[in-house]
Amino acid sequence: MRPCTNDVELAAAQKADLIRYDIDERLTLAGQPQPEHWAALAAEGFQVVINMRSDPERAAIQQRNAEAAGLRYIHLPLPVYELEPEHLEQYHQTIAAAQGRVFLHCRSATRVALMWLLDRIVYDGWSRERAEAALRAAGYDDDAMETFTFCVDDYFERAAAASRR
Amino acid sequence: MELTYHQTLDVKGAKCPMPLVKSRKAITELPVGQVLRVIATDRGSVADFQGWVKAAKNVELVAQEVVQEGGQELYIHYLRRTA
Repeated sequence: MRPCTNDVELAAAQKADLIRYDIDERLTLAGQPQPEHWAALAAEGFQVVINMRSDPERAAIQQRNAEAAGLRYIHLPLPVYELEPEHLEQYHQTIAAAQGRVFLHCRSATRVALMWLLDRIVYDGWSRERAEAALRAAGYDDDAMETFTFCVDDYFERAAAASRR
Repeated sequence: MELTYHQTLDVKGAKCPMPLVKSRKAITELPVGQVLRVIATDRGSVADFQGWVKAAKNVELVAQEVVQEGGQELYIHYLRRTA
């Protein structure tokens, strides 16, 4: 038995390949890029990187690297485990204001997909089935879809409870 | 290290953000002062729980540990409800 540290998580994450789902021509949902990915993303045509992870110190380092590669960088640390409607509005406005191709990432591309899903349903009027089908078509697997189902239910339950107060 | 806890939440196999969402729900069902033990296999849960307690008003992260079980690492989090 040993205590956890962020270094454990960081070292493991650095060995991982880049997870990405090209959801449409403007937006890609992704996991954590590594330093060698920034220039490749810029060369591919991405103009904006939005990081939804919470760690501000790591985000500051990534911002320097991404901007050095010519990318615009936005840190958007949203508490996806405890979403409120104002968080979703913040996400919606950030995505809507972004110019050009957007690379939206968290650690494993799940949180960003959940935000995309809720945004489609709440702001764009998509049915839940249509939005989930789009994520599945982009490559999300059964485990991810189960996560989305649970978390979307949780969001709407909490939103309904808040509206009754 | 022997830690006291009052309830266990098994989220093995669950991906981010499920361990946090389920923990948030479970902690509200505990009396104030009691400890929830969360067992996860998602390595990212280590940083996720640390980030959560910084923002949460009713939770304290008592401890985190990693144990080996059946060839996989389990990430165990001890959370105390504080309010």
